Amino acid sequence: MDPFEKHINDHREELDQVEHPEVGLIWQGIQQKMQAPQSRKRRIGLYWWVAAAAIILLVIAGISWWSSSSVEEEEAPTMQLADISPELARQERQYQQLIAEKEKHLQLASLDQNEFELFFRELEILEELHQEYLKVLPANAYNEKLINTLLQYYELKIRLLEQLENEVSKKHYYESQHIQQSI
Amino acid sequence: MQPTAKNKILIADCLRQDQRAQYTLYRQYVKAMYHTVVRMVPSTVDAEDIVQETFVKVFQKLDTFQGTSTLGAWIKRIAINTALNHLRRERRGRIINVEDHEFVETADDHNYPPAPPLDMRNVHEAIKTLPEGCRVVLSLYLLEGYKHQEIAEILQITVSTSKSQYHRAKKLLKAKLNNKMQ
Repeated sequence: MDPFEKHINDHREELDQVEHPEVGLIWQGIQQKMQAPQSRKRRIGLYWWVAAAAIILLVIAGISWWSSSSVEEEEAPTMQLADISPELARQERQYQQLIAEKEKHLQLASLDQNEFELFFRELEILEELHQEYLKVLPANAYNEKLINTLLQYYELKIRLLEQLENEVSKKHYYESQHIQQSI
Repeated sequence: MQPTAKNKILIADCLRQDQRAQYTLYRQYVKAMYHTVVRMVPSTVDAEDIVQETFVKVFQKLDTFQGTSTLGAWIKRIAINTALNHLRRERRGRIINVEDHEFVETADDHNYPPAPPLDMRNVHEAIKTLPEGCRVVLSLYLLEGYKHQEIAEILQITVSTSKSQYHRAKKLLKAKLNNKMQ
């Protein structure tokens, strides 16, 4: 330890007395955040999407059923956004690549589902609705609302995976035992 | 190190969601946490946000505090991690890039101390003006007691990069303080 380091060490406590933070304002912010839990805020985006998506699905499925009720029923072919236009194909490919990267980075399959239950449940809801949408896509391939909702599915999934990444890294930090010293 | 008897009572009261106890705990540590954070993230607004986020986490996770360190050290670890996460978000990943210059300590560095008495207000302000990567290393090593091995793990750099960034920061800091005194 050189004389400079020693001097700083000897006067370490003085370094924490220099500024005057807005103690009252910070406390107000803490109280507000404690009263509005983050998890509720985080889930609002998904629930809005689920509610809106369910309504659109109901309407589209209803129209499809009405217009095809006189035609002999046959099994709908499977279809993706990529089958509609090259631009949508490009967008869908980018989203799928990003999702695959995030899932790989997270090692999603090996994560403890109980520990991150909320995220896995939301991912499951998202997936179920997406499958329902794909079923009505062949009969409604040029329905703009349906296409937008399918694109939003990818965006929401990416956002959920990012939030999960954040939770996992936070958990790792809390578990790390780096400092065991007193102030 | 076990928490003091006074802190044990304070923690128990906080866990019962007693707001007066929470405020007492907050006032006890807010200033130290703020100064630690603002030396890593020099924007006052950002530092205050990070301190706010830190105490929200503290109150939400207080039931997981096991008393293996002091309460202050535990809160400080959360504050430092929250500040590092903020810097990572801003830098989209690494706080120190691998291509950052290597600095090697020379014998001259030891013979270049600013003449005491050193005004600690100037030291605090000068640290805040250091380049980000070396500023974080200096704060963690010199002021918060981290070892280079730990810093290397946290920042995902090598031990030698941590050491060279530290020497760079120290050299720049001494130069800044020397200029100020002339």
